Amino acid sequence: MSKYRYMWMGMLAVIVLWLGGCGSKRIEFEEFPGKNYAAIALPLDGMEMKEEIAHLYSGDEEIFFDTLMMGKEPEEGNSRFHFYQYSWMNQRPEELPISLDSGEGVVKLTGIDSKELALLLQREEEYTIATYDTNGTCLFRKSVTEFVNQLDNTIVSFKMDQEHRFYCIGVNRIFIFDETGEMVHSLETDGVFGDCFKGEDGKIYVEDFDGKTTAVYEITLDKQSRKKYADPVGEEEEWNKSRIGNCVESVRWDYIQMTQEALIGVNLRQRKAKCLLNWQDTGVNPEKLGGGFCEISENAYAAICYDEAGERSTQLLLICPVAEEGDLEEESKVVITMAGLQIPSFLKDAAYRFNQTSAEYKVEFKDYQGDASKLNAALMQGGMVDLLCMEGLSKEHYLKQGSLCDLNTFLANSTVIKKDDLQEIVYQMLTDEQGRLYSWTPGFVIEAVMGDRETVGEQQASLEAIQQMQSGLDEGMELYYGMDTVTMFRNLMQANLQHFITPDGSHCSFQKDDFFRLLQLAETFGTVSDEDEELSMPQKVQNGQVVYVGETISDFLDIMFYDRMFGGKPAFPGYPAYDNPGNFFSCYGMETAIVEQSEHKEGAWAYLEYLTSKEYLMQYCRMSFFPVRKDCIDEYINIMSATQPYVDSLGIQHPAYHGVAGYDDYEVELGALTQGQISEFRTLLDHLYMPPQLEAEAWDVITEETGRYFAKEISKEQCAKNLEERMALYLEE
Amino acid sequence: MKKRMEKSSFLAGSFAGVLIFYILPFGYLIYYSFVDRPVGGSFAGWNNYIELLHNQAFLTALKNTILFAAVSVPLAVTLSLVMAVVLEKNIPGRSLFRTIFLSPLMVPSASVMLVWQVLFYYNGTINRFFLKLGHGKIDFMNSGYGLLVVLLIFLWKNLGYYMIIYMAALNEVPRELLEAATIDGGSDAQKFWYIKLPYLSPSILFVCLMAIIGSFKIFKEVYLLAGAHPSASLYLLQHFMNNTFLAFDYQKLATAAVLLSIGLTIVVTALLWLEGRLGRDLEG
Repeated sequence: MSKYRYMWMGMLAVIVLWLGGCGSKRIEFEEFPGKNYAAIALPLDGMEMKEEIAHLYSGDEEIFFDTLMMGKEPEEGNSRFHFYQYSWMNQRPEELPISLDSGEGVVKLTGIDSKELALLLQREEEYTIATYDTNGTCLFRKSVTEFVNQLDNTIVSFKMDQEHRFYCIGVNRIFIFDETGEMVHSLETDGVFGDCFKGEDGKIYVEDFDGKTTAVYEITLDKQSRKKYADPVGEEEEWNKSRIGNCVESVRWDYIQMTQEALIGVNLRQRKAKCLLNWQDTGVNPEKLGGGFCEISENAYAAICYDEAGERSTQLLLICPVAEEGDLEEESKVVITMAGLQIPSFLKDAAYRFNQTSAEYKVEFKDYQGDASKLNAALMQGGMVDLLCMEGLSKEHYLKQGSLCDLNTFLANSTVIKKDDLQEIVYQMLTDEQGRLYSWTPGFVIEAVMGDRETVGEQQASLEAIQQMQSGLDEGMELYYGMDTVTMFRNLMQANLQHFITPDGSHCSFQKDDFFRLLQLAETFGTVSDEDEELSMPQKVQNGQVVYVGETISDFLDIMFYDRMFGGKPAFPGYPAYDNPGNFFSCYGMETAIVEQSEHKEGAWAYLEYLTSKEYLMQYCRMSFFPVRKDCIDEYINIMSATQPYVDSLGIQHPAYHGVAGYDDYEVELGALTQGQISEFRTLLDHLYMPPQLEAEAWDVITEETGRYFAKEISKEQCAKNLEERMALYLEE
Repeated sequence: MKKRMEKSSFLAGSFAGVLIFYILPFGYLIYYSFVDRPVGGSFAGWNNYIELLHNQAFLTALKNTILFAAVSVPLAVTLSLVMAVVLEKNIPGRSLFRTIFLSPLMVPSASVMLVWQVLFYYNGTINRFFLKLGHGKIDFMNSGYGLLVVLLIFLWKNLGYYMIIYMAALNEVPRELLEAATIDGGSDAQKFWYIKLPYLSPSILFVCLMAIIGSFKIFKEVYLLAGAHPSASLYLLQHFMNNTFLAFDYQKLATAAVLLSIGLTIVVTALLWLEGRLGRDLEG
C-alpha cells in the first residue's frame, strides 16, 4: 500500500491544482478557426464547463444545440467581447457574426457592452443564470429552474440591456431584474418571442428568427397628444402607418389582449376596452404571431409581433406600459395550490390574472406531468393541494375517496355567481344523481356532427340507416369527413358508452349485437390517406362529396361558419347512438375541483368564482369556448348579432362583427349572427350528451382490443369477450 | 443499572431503524386498511376486508397469483437444483453454462421484454412457426397461455440465481461423507438422496422462500408485456395494487397488502417449521 502512497498524493495535488485553476475569475474561450466546431472552457468562479458539455460542443456532426454563442476575449484597450453564432445548418460559426444581444440558444451569453456586464445562461448539471462583471465577479447566480419557477410564467428567452437590467421574456409577461437579481418591473404582453431592440441610433430594430433586420422604426412623441408614434423608416416604408398608429394608441391601455379575432386594448380601472386592430384587416394569422421587445423609454416598451407563417412577414409594434411588481404584497397572500396531470395554459393564464386582482390569494401550480402516483402521494399528505385540475383524472375515483368537495354550498353563498346563472345543461352534466356538484368549469365546447338538413334530415340517424348510406355511397363520396375506422369507432363508442357501461361504472357488457354493429359500421370506413385531402372540408361539402362533418364547435364564429357552409340549412343530428343525442358536451381541460382536505377552500372557490365571473369570461374567453354563464352567452349573442357598434354591460364597445373565415379554397364572409343561427345554437345546446369519463388506460384497452379486430387478428366475438373481460377488471378495481 | 442503560443506548439506534423502516410503515399499512378514505378517514372496521374479499378483480388477481406461485415455485426450486447438480459435475463448458444461466440477472428486464413480445405477440415468431407447422395461431396474451409465458419469463430470470445458491450449498457438503459412500458402493442417486439433499435443505428452504416472494411480486415483466390492464388470465396481485394506488384507493391497496403479508407470513412460518424438522433430522 505504501508504494502507492506517493502516487495517490500526486493525484491529489493534481486535483487540488486543477480545482484551484477552475476558480480563476477570468472568462476564457477557445476557438478553433477554420473548423466547424468549438470547444469552450469556462473556468469562471468555479463554474467550469463540464467535460461532457464541452464534448457536445466539439462533436462536429452531432452537435446537439442549434445555436451556440462563442466569445473572444477583449483585446487590450477594448472592453467589448466579440461573439459568433454557431448554426448547425451552416456549420460555419466564423461566418455568422451577430450583434451582442441577439441569438438564441441553450447557452447564452448576452449584454456584454461598454457597461461590462454579462448575463450568462449556462448548463452545468442544470441550467444556471448568472450575472458577471468583466472581472469575473459574480453578482447574481441562481438555478434557472428555481428562478423561472418563481416567475409563474413560461419563460422563452433571456436578455440583458445596457442598463445592467436583465429580462426574462415569458409568453405572457416580461420580468425585469437588476443585476443583483432583484425584480424591478414586470411587463405584461402577449405572444412575445424573437427579438426587437433599440439601436445605438435610438431606432427600434426588428429582426426575424435568422437575425436579419426586417424593419426599423423611429419613435417620435407628439407633444400635443402626448402619444408616442413608431414610424417605419428605410426600406419598409410601405408599412401601413395608420396601423402602427392604432397600436401606439395602446399605450393608454393597461393590458393588450391578443385574441383570435383582434388586438384589444383593455383599461382595467375604467373597465373599458377597445378593438385596436382587427387581424382580418392586416392579413396577420394570429395563431402564428411571434415577436420581440425592447425598451423605448422608462415607462414604455415596444413589443413586436409578426406573422411567421404568412407569405410576407407582417409586423406589428405594440407599446406596452410598465407595471411595478408588488413582491411584498404577493408574499403575504395565501397560496392556493392547483395540482394536476396536465394543467392547461389557459388555467395558468387565468390564475395569473386572478393573482393580480386578488388581494388575499395567489394561485400556484403543481403540474405532475402525467405522473398520477406523485399526485396521489401529494394528496395523501393532506392540505398540500387545494384545487385539482381534472384533466386526465377520473372524477369518480377521487369522489369515491371523499377527496372532492361539494361546491353547492359555495355556490349558494356566492355573490359572484348563482346556480341560476349557469347554463342548465352544464349544471346538470356536472352534478351527480344526488345533485352534488363536485367539479366546476368556466366553459364548454360541443363535439357535434353536422350535415345539410335537406340531405340528412333533422333527426339523428339510426346505425342501420348510416350503414345503409355508407354502403350506397357513390365513388369519391365520404359519409363522414376525414373519418377512418379507428376515429369513427372511437366517436361511435363515445356516443354510446352508456349503452355498454352502466352509469355508475360498475358493470360493462360488450358481448352483444349492438357492439358488433358499431364494429361493423366503423370497419366500413377504412383508412384515410393524405392524397384525399386535395380539397378542404368545406369545399367537399359544397361539392356534395361529404355528407356529415364531425367538428368541435367552440364559439359563435363556428356556428356562423358551419351555417354558411351548409347553405343556411345545417342540422346537428350527432353520431348514431342507441340511447342519447349523439352530440357531446365537453369541457376538456377546463374541469376543476376543490379538494375536500384543502385548508383554503374559500380561496380555491374565489379562484373558481373568478374563472366564472362575467368580467373574466367576457374579456378573455369569448373566442376559446362557450361560457357557462347564461348572461355571458346572451351578451355574446348580442355582440355577435349587432349590426351597429354595441356597448356591453361592462361598458366595452364592440364593433359590428364582420370577418372572413375559411380555407384556401373556400372562404366566406361572416357578418352578424342571425336569428336562425341563434336558434340552431339553442337547439344544439338543449340536445347534448355528456359521455362517461373514461381514463386513458380504459381507452387504451378499448383501442387495443378493437384494433386487433380491425387488423383481422381476432373475431368480433373474441374482441368483445376480451374487451368485456379487461374492462370488467378495470371497473371492478 | 448503568450497564443496562449502556446496553439500551447501544440498542437504541438499531431499534429506531427497525421502528422507522419496518414497524412504522407496516403499522401505517394496517391503519389504512381500517379507515374509509386515505385522507382524514374514519374507522371502517372490517369493511375494507369484507369489500376486498368480494371484489372480483382482487379475487381474480389472487387466484392467478396463487396458481402462478403453485406452478412456478416447485418448478423453480427443482429445475435450479437439477441445473446445479449437473453443473457440479466436471462437464465440458461448465463455466460457460453457468455464465449463460446467470446472464438474465444482469440484463435489464425492459430491454429483454421486447424480445419476449416479438416471440409471443399474436403475429410473433412463435405463432409464425406454428402457422408453418399447420397449427393455428395462439393468442398468448389473452388466453390461459398467458400465464405460461409469464412462467417462462420468471424461470428464465431466476433459475440462474437459485442455481448459484445451490451450487454454493453443494460445495459445503462434507467430502468425506461422499467418499465414504463411494467406498461403500453408493450410487450417485443414493449419494444425492441420502447425503446431499439433507445438507441442501436450508438452501432449498431459502430458494423456496425467494421463489414464493418473487412469484407473488412479479409485475414489471407482465406490465411490460401486457400493460396495466391485461387479460383476466394475466391479471396478478401486483396489477391490482398498482392500479388501486393510481386510482387513489389507498385503503384497498393497504388491505390487499396486509392480506398478502399475512398469507406470505403463514407460508414462510410453515416452511421454517419444516426446515426446523428437517434440520433436526440432519443433526440427529
